[in-house]
Amino acid sequence: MPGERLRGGYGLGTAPQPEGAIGAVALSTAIRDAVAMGEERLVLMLRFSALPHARRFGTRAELLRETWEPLNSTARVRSFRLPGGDLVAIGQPIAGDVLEYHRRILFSMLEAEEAERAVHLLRLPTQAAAVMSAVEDSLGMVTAMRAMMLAEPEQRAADTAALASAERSLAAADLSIFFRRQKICWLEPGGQDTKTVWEDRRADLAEICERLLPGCDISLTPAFAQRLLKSIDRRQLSDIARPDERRNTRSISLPLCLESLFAPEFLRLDALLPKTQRQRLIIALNAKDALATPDLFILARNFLQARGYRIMLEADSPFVASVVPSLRNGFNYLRLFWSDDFPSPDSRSARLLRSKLPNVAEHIVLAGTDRAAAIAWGWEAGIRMFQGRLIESQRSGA
Amino acid sequence: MPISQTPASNPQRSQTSMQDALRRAMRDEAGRAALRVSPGRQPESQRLVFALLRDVANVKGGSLLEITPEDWLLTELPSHEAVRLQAMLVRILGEGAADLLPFPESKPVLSGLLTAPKMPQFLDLPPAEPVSLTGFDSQLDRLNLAQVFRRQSIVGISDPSMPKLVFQRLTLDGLSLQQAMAPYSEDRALLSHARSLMQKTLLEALGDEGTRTSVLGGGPIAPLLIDLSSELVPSPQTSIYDTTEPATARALYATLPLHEAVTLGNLAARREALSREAWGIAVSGLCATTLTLVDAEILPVDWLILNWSPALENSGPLKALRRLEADRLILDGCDGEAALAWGLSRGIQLYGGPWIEDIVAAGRMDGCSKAALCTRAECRARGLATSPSGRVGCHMPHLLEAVLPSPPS
Repeated sequence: MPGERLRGGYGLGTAPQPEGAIGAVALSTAIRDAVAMGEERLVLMLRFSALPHARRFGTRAELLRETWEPLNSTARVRSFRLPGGDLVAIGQPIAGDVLEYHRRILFSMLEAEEAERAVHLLRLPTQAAAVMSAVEDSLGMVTAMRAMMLAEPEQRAADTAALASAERSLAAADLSIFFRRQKICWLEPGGQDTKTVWEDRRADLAEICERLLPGCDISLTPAFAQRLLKSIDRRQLSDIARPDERRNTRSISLPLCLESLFAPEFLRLDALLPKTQRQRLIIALNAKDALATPDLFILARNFLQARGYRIMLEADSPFVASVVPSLRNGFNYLRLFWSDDFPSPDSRSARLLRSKLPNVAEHIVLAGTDRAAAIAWGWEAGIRMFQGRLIESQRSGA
Repeated sequence: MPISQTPASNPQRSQTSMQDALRRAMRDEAGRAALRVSPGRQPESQRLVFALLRDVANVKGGSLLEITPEDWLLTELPSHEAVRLQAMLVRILGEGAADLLPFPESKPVLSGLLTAPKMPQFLDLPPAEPVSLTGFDSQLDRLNLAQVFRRQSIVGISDPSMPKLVFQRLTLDGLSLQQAMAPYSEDRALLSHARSLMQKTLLEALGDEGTRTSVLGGGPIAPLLIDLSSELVPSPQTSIYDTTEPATARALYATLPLHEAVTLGNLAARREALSREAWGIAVSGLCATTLTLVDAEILPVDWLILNWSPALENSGPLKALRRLEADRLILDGCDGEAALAWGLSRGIQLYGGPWIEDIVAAGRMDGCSKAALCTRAECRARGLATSPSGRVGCHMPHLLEAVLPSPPS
């Protein structure tokens, strides 16, 4: 219970073994105080994090902890357990013999090399820096940083020069090759009544980046991806405003960046389209985009609704969709992108999602249905509108 | 009649034709109305409203004037058109965004404008050009941690006379970043790129013992909340301690903005993996607006950071708040007693913001024997600093390091 965390206090509590972060903070306060007062203290440390894997778990680790146990109730010694499991005891000089005794037992239980790394008896105030560094290490800071640095990506991140050159190439490129047109189909279990409900037009960002930013992983610089998408949006909106496109009477869905709705290209298109034409456009907005600039989202949503467009929320998972309720936020549709790690249709998040939607069949589109498993998932969840490679191939075979 | 876009090179002629436009609107002809519009402050909402008004003016007549940057006037259009347009603007911008001024009753409003000390101008809003990337890198290079990060205090106030430091937070100050990155910050994508680079730099600085102390001003005082972007959060596969048991408590909290936390994928699994390394997850960016957009109660995170504003007292946010456990909330951005009083009445225990920094600085000075040598503002600024140079001048650095004097045990 979160409230528990508040009650521990960060002063010098009297509990024999303050737990976790509270322990670490209490310990560092004790060390700082000792150093500030110039008082002599002995510090015994048992660092599980410095031991090989086999030593850290099971009976052997249990034995080490049992050996430590008496220190929790020794007079003039305070024992701390740090978040990673490391144990630290700080004692007055008069308890020096007890600490030295425990150091020797711990040494005898470990290989010499292991003991050198994991068991230390240090002196305050002279060795304060070494003690503090071990405490901070145990707070997860250094180790976590190291892990983040270790997670080096296979591809490099795009730099500004690469982005500028990609933008120049994009301005001159024929965008039509980068657009994917897919049908959204109504599909009943058993395959009757299959019909196309509308067409989706989406820029293939992966393909664009592969061509224009070779060797770069755009997911490492999401802001750059956003900038490219915005300029793609503007080009696409100019295309749709062409007279031949405006004569098209079929419904289409367009995924757009929120900011693109305020670009001159969209405002011009909006002025050119009569209301009946606006109604055939379904503007798809991404959940992340909407929450990143909530005021802009509300403005855009009100604008699109007032002008007669239909709007669709895009979410990567049922979880996202259950956190951002599409219906309550005024969306006509919700598009989920299927992936293998979707929870089963009767899982908590999938049920939670459906509980907020009175009419799943007419509200949710399941995109990325490249395998039969996706359609099976959708049918079980009550979904009838599908989009993806499998749907395309069915249609062309029909 | 279409609005005339008078060249700026001839302001005098522009003034004359502007006066003509106002006089023309006041002519004796019934069935017409003017529309006075508050387009809002955001550039996007201004561009949108401008486009809507201009399209109508182009077809139905009338001129578009700017009385002040956030107070616009469409001088005349047929009444039914004016009513329709007003309804649409109210639907988009909210109540009070557009006022109908029917003629002839509203003539005095327009004639008042003719004699106003500051005359209206013809409104023109050129389309925003994409921000160029030239020079962006060198400006980024000049940016440093201390410019944009603050060492914020989150305090527990169960007894208002004795605030207790519960968390420290390294907060990225959005306004400072925006100023430091101008004019590139006009592009949200570039601004957010700068933000995530600074967050990465911070993480690197915290990973190194020397720079960590200079950022934090000393050793660990309280569990630390660190503002991060989602790409900096380790994935569940990255094991650090390689333990099987979650750590007993959290020492660090990755503090993610709402939009990133929600869309991060496997949030629950990540939290589980992070907890083995004594990390937790906090979410920032909850406010009166976002509370009504999301069901925050189902977010699997340790802390929800809620931004104070009086709008929290509106029915929508209040309804959403009732579903949240108060002991999972931190009320941030507290700027005065009202925020604190509201939070306490909702059972919230943890607080941060400018008002809290004032309280913290005052508490620190109360316990400082050299307090007479400094002002409250100096002590406050030094407490918020994230570099040694920002703390220069303090005579009692160990008090500054401890943020607040320890409560008597």
